[in-house]
Amino acid sequence: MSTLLEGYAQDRLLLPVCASCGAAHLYPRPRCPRCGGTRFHDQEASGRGEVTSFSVVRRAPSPDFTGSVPYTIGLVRLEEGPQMMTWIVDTPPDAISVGMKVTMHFADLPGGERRPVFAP
Amino acid sequence: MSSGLLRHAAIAGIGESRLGRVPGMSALALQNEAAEAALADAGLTFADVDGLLTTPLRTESWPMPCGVVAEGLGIHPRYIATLDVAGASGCSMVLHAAMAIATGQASTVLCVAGQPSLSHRGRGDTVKALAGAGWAHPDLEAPYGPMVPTLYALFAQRHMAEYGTTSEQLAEVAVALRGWAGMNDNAQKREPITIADVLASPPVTSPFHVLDCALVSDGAAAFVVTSAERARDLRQPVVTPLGGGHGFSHTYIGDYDAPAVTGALHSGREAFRQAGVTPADIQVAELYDCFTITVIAELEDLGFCKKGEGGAFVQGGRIGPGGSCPVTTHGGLLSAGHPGLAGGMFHVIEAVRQLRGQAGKRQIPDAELALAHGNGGIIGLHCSVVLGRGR
Repeated sequence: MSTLLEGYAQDRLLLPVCASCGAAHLYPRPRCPRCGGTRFHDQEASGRGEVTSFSVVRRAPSPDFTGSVPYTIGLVRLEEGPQMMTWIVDTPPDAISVGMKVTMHFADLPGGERRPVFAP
Repeated sequence: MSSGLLRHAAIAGIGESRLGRVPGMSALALQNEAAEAALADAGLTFADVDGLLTTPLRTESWPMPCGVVAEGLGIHPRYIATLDVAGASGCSMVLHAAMAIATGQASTVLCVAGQPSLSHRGRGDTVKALAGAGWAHPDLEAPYGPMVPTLYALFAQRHMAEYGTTSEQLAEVAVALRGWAGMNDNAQKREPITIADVLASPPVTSPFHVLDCALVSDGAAAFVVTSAERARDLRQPVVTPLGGGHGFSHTYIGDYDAPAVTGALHSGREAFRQAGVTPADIQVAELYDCFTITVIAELEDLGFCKKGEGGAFVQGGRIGPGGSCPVTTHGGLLSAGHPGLAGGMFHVIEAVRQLRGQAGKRQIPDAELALAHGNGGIIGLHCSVVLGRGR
């Protein structure tokens, strides 16, 4: 996990890749869910992916987000395989569709975290 | 445990506290109200209880919930545990209590849960507390600001893109369950609604409107599980679990391939196999309904219709009053009430009521086989229980 967060601090998305079977992951786990391997190395993501789902949030879940609604939360399937939650930015919500190709850049989120977001 | 042993247990008593806005009641006071009702229903007293199952609260943190509840109710059970499979807890309690009966750990298990979700801090605060309850991964999801409804909305949006499910079809679920709630005097929302009303209700997180989302409620539920043999000597018609199972796919929605089947496929398959029945044999299905999409996905994965056809299946009032496939006949979390982890217990209670023939105006004639189904987390953990009239 720390590697992922360290990567975020440098505007890099570092995916843990199973040293045994080569599967790329995102959510941190002690075991590779595909082969059971326990050793991982980092691979920098290309930043390309496609939208697998999205939701336009109209109500802020906390005061941090009050000034940001509406915003579009998306799920993006990276070309390396893993899926990640993100924001879909720089496009009107009604132009977003499942299957749309998107690319990553880093942005500061309302709570102060620096995270990958995606745009067409 | 073989299904034969499961059938040796029975749900002998059911009870609900007042549901909706119930000011001035602590979680323990609500749970006591439900427990008293369930024990009275069975013709038992707290002195008969030697087993206790409860859940954690979402309104406050208890150090050891089963201990807090036992102390609050003044009982000293020899079988005692806190169960947390989130919304699946109600159905799961039936199976765990039956196991305790079958292995001699207890003779009379009180299952009870509930909390003042609405009055404790107010609806808005509860929604915000849920947003931070950990359903979003703390590093990978929470920073983007999803509400719990957003996490389900991502599942719903993918279902719509994959299968052509529409907002009108989602709304059909809310309308049907409100129809049932209109015949439930303890339901929080009873006034009829239309598809247009659902679509005109304030948008929350697309594709969901307010009326696609569960209520926030004060309340508690309780039921008493004992042996079928003993239940025959108690006050009520005997209702027994005939089969049950769990199914798990994921905790975090970002790590789930949304169009895949949910754990309901596995929980349902196991419950039906043990009971020796098929979905077509089920006369009333009390399905967990935290959001409208949840019911549609469960209908598909449990086998009431094919994958992807749940939206069309619910059209034309099929799951509402007078429909051919009655679903969640008390009104569910969408219209009867949703007091935290107790929410899914009401589905079990309603199944028992239907099988006893005590559901009043919403009674399904001659109901002999019912399904209760619970879903926990972000549609990631499921529990199914087939229930039948005992002999």
